Amino acid sequence: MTSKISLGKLIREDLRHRHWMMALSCLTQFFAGPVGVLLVTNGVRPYNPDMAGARERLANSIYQTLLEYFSAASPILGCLIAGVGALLVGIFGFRHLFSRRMADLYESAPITRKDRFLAGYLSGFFVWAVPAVISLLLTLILGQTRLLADVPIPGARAALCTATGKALLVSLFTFLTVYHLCILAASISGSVFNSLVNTALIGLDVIILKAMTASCGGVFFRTYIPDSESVVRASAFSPLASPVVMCYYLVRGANEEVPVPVWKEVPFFFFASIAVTVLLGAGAFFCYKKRASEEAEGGVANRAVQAVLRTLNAFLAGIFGGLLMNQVVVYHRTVWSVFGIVVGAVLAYAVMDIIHQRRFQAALSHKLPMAVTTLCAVVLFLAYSMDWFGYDAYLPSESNIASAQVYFAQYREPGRRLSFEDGRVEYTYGREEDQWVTMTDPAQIRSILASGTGYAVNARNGRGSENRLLTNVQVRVKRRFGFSYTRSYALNMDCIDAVRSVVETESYRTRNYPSCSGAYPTPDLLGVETTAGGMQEIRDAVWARELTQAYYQDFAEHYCVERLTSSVSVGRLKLEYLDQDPKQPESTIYRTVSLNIGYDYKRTLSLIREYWELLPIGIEDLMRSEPYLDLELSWNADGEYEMSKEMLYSYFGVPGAPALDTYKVSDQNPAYSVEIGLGSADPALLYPCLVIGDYNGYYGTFYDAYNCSGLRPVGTLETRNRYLQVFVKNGTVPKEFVDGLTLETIPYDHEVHYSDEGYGDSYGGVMGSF
Amino acid sequence: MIEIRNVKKRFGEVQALAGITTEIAEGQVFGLVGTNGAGKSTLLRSLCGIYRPDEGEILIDGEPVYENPSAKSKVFFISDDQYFFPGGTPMDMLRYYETLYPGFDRERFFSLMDALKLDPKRKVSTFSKGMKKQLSILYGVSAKTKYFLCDETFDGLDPVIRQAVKRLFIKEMEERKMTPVIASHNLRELEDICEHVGLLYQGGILFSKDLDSMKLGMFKVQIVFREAEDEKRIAEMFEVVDREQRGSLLTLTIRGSRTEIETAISAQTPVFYEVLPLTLEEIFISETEVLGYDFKNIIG
Repeated sequence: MTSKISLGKLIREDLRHRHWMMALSCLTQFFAGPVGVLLVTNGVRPYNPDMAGARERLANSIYQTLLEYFSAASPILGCLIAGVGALLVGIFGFRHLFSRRMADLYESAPITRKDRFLAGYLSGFFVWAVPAVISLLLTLILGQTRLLADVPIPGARAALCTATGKALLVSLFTFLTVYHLCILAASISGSVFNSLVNTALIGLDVIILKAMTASCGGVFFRTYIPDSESVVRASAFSPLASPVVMCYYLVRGANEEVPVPVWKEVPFFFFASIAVTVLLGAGAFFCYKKRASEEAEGGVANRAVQAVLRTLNAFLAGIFGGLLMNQVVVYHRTVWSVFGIVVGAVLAYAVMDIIHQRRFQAALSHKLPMAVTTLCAVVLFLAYSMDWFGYDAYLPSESNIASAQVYFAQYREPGRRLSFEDGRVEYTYGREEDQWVTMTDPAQIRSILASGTGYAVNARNGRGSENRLLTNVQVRVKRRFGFSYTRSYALNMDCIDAVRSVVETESYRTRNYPSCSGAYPTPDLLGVETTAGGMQEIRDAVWARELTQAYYQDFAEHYCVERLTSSVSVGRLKLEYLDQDPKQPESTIYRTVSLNIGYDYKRTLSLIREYWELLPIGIEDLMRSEPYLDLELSWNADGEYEMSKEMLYSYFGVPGAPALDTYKVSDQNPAYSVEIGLGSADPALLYPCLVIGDYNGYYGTFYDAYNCSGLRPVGTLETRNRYLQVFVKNGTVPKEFVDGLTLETIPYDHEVHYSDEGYGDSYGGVMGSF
Repeated sequence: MIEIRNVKKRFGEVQALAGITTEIAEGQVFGLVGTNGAGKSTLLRSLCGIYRPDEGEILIDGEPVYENPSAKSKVFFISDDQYFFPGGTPMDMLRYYETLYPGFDRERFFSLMDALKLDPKRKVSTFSKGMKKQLSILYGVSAKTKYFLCDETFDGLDPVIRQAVKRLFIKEMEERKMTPVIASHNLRELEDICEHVGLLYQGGILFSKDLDSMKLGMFKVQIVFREAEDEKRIAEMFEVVDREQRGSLLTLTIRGSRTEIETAISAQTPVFYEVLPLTLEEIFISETEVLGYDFKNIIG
């Protein structure tokens, strides 16, 4: 059963009816390529032609401009044109699938569907590919001619060729992926509208599914870490994402300040893109071949496909509705979330049915599958929100733990980049692999995991911990049986010895606090700025070096877990460096690193005092440097808010509030009574100068109220985050209260924590910072 | 020969073809008649390989037609609403058909275009409905396929062109044994061109007969009996397909040969009688009424 008509003739015939597509393709690619390269190089002129080396600078400038265009603009524009072009030729090139009249003409012709598909497919491909290749070649030739022949730059011509090849590759992947996706969508659709809807749905569903899974994990699991790297990688498996990711890497490779070896990632994306493209293409061919001609002008051609699309999208819409409600409401979250799921899933299912069948009456034509889909979404949502599978509570047995890698986000030097005269560049970003500590003792590992799991379970139940040691401890556990996994934990004091055994080692200190440990020679230290006793700037380089050395000594002397845990400080020491600009080697840029000065850093404080006579470092200065008191209470969302509020009122001695000692820790009461080690300072003294708000309120609705005195009315409190924040009006703290504070009463104990933005436990504990 | 064997086709809840079995012999004009929704267009689309039957098979000269270019190359199909390339001229369609039908006779096409006074360089979108039908027929004839399937093609043609097309068909049949299959509601038009008629009803084929034998097997008799018992005797002897009475004049549609009917009625010595041949339309109506399609009571 083979056709005697040659494929070439069929393609030629098909192309005759795509003149407008070809014209559009030629025009856009001509402007994006040859015209574009002429435009960008048009403005490159020597600043002063008579200056020595001006010609060389001009040659370099032209080359840089060209390279940037070929490496960044060209692939981006190429992808854009390829994507839009693929959409047009994919949908409109196969429009005979949407018209009965056209189907009569095309399907009655004496050729097989395979030949018809190939003819349509190849002619569509040529519509894009021929102008694209010609345009890129022209662009390359023009680019090469713009390079100054009398000032050759080694490797410049080859670099432009390579960049052109990459741009073509990325554009090709973009085109093929979108093209195959569109043909697949067209093959299962009965109209242009349905094709576009299906293109979007098939293309984006994979991404949405991953995003939704990550969102659920992030919202409901206390120990979940969204693996951003895997999300990026996984997106390559989404029909629409892989070429975009390829393009991103191309551009990133061209422009990244730090020379990241991006091309090591390319093979993965390359093969992923091929796999996705081939899969889509095969699907498109299969669906085209199996498609019944009578489906033209219908909704979605294939009933099985209809069902899959309906179910998947209704499911996703349901989960989205649930998440939305969960984030919006304050009380009865579960009920509202279920409501959101039902509305989302039912609506999406009905809309999909209407689109597929092209009639409003079809909205409820699949009641049972709709109900089952909605139910599945509800069950999955509840499984996430209530952690039915024990994700947060999972604790491997000691015998199943092979090893672990631990990363203490709090125990590391702030991220910085150091450049040295010998060209060496050092990074101390927290996620660097060398900051992960390998642990091999199963008992020790389990101690950390048990502490973290216990904390997570408490937090899930709306209970904080008065014994918190650390937040954001990431642990990669390698199990003897089963996959390895990575979680983020907050740790209680019960595992301080396990933490100490890791952190209080010379190797940990030098790796995670390289500057403070003198591991690096300080490069071109320009000066020091300190917030101790008010912002001061020191431009005396000799003295600055002396101060930093003193700081390093103090740091080493007081190096212990307790000291590191406490962020209570007299102020900060900001070191300023002169650094080389990686983009413009002849230029320099300033970089800074901030280090906290502990109250017991006697050498450092002594030198600061010596430099600034006005510095009596006292408690007033502490209050000035951190002018707010930050307390947090935890409670269960649906039942304990009022109690927490009352307890807070009691704590601050609000008239009419019950005595503080009436509150006992129980299942009904907030996690525990407020004890923040204020020494003899009476918190009731703060009452006249307090503003209570929630965390977000500080930046939003309560910002204006910051200068108010007295407690805010209860009705205006937002409880979304389930904790309150108490602000002390700057400069109005009663002297009696301050007098009651002593440095000794603010030790690095477990009850006073630094509020580490973003990583803090918003569900538990009493937190305060000064 | 086109062989249709127990072909079934369903669109959702609608059974468009319900097990059709018939044959279309070569070198004759096959008329396909039927009520609206009887399945004529569906059958034609199945015959040219556009639709795949749910069950059964369709053979063109012994080969299955669906997805078979060899069989499909013997068939040319004109739908009731033929598609022309947007903004295209007859030349554009000509190139398309030339690509797909290697035997396409370009000279013949132009000579016919000339004869019908159609401008090959004028945009098809400016053609009248009838001109488009003529154009479609010219493509079909020029493609030189063995079977030519026309769906409602004669609708919209003026009487002069209709006669010209008929002559054209006859000539093609004489020269190269072309077999036109014409689906139409216009039974009067089919009557003088078709040799064989297939009557479709509710997706099934009611009968498929030579038109002549069909006309010779059923007659309309206008009669005035002397006694009521005479009519009963006639009814016992023949199948009375339809009966209508106005005063004493009775009109009966009777199945049987003319000689048998005349002999039987003469024996009853009626006051008056006349045996009349039926038109195709009358046969169509009678046969479908037998199956319960009540034309008289469609409205009111």
